[in-house]
Amino acid sequence: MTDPVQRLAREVARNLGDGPGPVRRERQRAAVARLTRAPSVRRERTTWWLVPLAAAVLLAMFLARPATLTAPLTVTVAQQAVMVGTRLAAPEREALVLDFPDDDRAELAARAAARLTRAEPAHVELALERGAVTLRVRPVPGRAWSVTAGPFTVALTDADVTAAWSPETGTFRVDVARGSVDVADAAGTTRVGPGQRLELRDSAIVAAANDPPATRSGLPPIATAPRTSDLGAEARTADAASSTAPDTSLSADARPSPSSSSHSPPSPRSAGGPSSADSPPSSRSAEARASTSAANPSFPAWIALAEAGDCAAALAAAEREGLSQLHRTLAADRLDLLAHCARVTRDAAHAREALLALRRRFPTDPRARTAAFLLGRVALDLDRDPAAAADWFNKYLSEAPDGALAADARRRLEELGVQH
Amino acid sequence: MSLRVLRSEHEPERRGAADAATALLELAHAGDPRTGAALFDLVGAQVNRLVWRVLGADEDHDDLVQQVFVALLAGLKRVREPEALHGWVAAVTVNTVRSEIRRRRVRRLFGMQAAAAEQVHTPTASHEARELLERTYGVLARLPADERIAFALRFIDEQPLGDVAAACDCSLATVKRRLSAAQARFRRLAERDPMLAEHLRELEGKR
Repeated sequence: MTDPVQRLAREVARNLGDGPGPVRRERQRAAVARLTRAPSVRRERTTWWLVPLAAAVLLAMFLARPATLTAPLTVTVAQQAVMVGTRLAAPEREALVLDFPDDDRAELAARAAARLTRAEPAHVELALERGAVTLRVRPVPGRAWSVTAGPFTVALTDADVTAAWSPETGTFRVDVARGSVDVADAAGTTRVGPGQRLELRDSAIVAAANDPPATRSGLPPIATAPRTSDLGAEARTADAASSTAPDTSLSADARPSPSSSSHSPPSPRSAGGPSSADSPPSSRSAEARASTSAANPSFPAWIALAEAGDCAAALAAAEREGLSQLHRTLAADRLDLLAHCARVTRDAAHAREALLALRRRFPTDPRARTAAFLLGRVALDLDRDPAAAADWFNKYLSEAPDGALAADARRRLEELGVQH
Repeated sequence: MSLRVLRSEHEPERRGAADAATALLELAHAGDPRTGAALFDLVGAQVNRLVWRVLGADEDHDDLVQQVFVALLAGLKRVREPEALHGWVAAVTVNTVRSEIRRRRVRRLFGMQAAAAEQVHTPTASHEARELLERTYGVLARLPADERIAFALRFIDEQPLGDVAAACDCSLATVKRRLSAAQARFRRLAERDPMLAEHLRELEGKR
């Protein structure tokens, strides 16, 4: 193969690999398996008399429905009606707002995706596929709202709440600003009140992400990142939580301010996990703390998210771990990855900090030279600062005059009208 | 004197694959609920690889793979020969990916989808490698769907011409024509990108 285009294609194949990693494949497999699992069993059990019976029940329900709830709900996005079943995906950098009657609204954060699965007068339901949705729900008699995400369901009737779901890591977070919500999964239901945050993890995904297939059932739950927060400041949610779901790896913390360092450890609420099954409830909090600090710091959550392409979530996770600490301790390739996430999410300040840390700590690494070029891109594309951009491009050219990005740097300098 | 192959190194593997395909088709015809999982175990890697190579590390990759499997499960009962399974899977995958490429093009034409949606999110740590992938798939996104698919299958996935023709459901001559056009168009577009142009010149120099 002598043609340069074919050689380039071969190089692309080498860099690209054969597909996503085992975690995503496991999830794909589960989704495909679900496609053929249920219907045949149901069909075998169905008998002819169920059809008229169901019709009669439906008719009775229709006739008995409350008069006030007969009008269909109209849901709009940018004043365009949205049908039930529609998949809604927020653009890369903008939120998508769904307007409901009675001044209720749902706001999908940038890059979030959800499906409107029910929009009935008695029940509105959104299936969150990824990202965050903020709901502002005012009470309407007889109307319930729910948000589903993976195995979790949030039920509410009167609350301002943000739910965020990361299918890659199986992390589900609920922040309640006003009112209260019920968060349910297989382990039970937890009530979350105003000012509280609940963070849960889907144990199936956690297990798939961390366990080799042969030993999947035997490993303890993991925490996503090492944490230094004082868990003594952690406050449990309502007593109902402990009575319905005694596994105390579920936690909700009082959240005085977004900048507070007190976060609940995101542990999977896995009833079958060895750490929760073998110890009494009173000792599990300490155990959760121990497992949190012993979490594997060599592959923290933000890297898993970054590698799955969810840069916004990766950056948020890295911020929770403490960016200044990461800048001091990360290896060059991970600093580069962190800067990449910040650039993709157009966070100029964090991108610049990571790139500067890379140059400061690894001055002889080739990535330090590339970082100079990227600092130019950050200055130009994100800060709109042509003078700073030109400085960085010139610096890159002085450090790597024959580098892979030299032609690009020269072209950009020409476009900026700078003599190099 | 005629020669006959008595034993081949690949024979057990091939026989194993054929047995697995036969078992899968039996499950499908019986309406067994395990069909989905069995199908994924047998062809999941093939589907992932094809979609990944044609579209790059696309953010909708998993949705597309799911779409492919919905189509595969819908038509699995129509497959009679176990040996034909992998070829059929490739054709269905390519069809799904082609529809997706065209759908995106229409959406972009009407401003319903930003170009960023086709951005390649690759986990590779090297910035240069990432840039190379982003720019290459940026150029590939500007090729007509059929040319892009033929290019990716032949040059990125390095499939034999016959397999490319079968997956694209066209003749060998048509595939050759598409490849030639795709290569020329790719070269022309890549020349406008400073990094790709320089990289191609370097590769040409190493010839």
